[in-house]
Amino acid sequence: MTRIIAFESSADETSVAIVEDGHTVLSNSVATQINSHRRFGGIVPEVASRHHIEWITRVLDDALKQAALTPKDLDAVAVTYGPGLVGSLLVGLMGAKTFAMAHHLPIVPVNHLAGHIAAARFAGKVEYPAMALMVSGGHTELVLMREENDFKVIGETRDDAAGESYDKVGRLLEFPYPAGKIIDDLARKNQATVKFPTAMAHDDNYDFSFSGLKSAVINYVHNAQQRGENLNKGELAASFQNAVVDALLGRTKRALENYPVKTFILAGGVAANQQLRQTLTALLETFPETTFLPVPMQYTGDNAAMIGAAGYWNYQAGIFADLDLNTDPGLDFDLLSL
Amino acid sequence: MREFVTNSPKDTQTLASQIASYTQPGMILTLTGDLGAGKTTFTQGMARELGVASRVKSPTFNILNTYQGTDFPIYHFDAYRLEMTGAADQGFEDYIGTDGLTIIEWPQFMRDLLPNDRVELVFKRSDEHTRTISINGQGHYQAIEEKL
Repeated sequence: MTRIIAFESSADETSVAIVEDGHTVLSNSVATQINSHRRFGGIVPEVASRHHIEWITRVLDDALKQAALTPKDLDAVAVTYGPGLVGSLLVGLMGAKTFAMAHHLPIVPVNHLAGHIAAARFAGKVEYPAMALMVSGGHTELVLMREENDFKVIGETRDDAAGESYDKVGRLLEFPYPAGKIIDDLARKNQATVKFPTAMAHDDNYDFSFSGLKSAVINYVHNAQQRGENLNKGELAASFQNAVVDALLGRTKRALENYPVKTFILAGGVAANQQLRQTLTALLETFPETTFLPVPMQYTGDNAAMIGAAGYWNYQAGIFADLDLNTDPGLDFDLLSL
Repeated sequence: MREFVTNSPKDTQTLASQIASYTQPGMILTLTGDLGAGKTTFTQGMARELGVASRVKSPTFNILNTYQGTDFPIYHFDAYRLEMTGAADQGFEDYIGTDGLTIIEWPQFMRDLLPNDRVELVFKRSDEHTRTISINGQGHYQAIEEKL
């Protein structure tokens, strides 16, 4: 039995978790800045950068308490070292290193993106070869895993991430941040009446592009405003979401046809999108050899439990770091070389 | 101030590649304009001309993406997400006016970190495809428009 304590602070969430054998979450304490901005009425300069420092020791104490464990019950410290914001990453990294040094535990460096994918372990067993659609505010990638802990990008966004397009369209339609859930809810209750373009549908690759869709929605809104028409935001949200889901579905289908895999994982913040989960569930029914493993809803956003799951893969593979481990804000998976 | 009109994303990238030959390490370009005005498209064209081989993607989420050009690094900022929080205490100063070319989208949200010597580009959407891009050199760079 291996118990790993994991630290995550790459973006807006400060989190510490304890995970057993890479799949059983003993505790997962998450403090999010979105709530603390709301608590302060929305605008507090410098709260963001100080938030991680303020919360790291509190979520650490909370994670140990929730799991009813002490440091001597632990085997290793896993930590996100990239990608992310350098100032934010540093807080989790320093917290993890300090904890590791104080309690004589080895440090396991973890790629945040591998963490999102490894969160599928909380849903079931991953059999290889496997593929993941990783969709979040910062990333949109199709990742092939020929074996455990081997990540190769076979397709990625050429411009905006899918989650980013949700937030930007949300801002255009004057929805509060983050807009993903609001758009998803509206899409469920409304008909898609506008046919927005699904970018690069005919290109012979696995790449995505959401910048053109963003511009198409902007143009539609501007034109409607110039004509003095009232916008039906519900129908627009449904139309926009259809275009996003279509693009993700089309690329995924082609990738699964050309790379037969045993497990298909849906990961990242946008994996919480209900229409995307349902659409992919239906698609995967046409691939009977492939098990669909969407990350459980509560682990789709940033959290340290997923870092504990990916940390276990590294721990098994003997991947450790020294106390001089630094952040790598631009860390990414390699592209698959054919 | 100089103004250019572009009629497609490709046009915007061509303009960027022409301006690229006037850039140098330590220079700061600010790109102001609404969502979808062409700021990242412009940066893609400029980075390609400066020898960046990897894909230039939207920096909105990461706030800063770093690329290696043939002669110097390119620091691509997007302060869009800093509207609520400010840009202080993130270590961004190391990437502004130092050893590379710094390109900043949504510069109004990191105003405090911007030196006076900079080149301001403003993107205006005229219609679906047409953009008016104005270029305004400040401080040291006041004369840049005449060279273009």
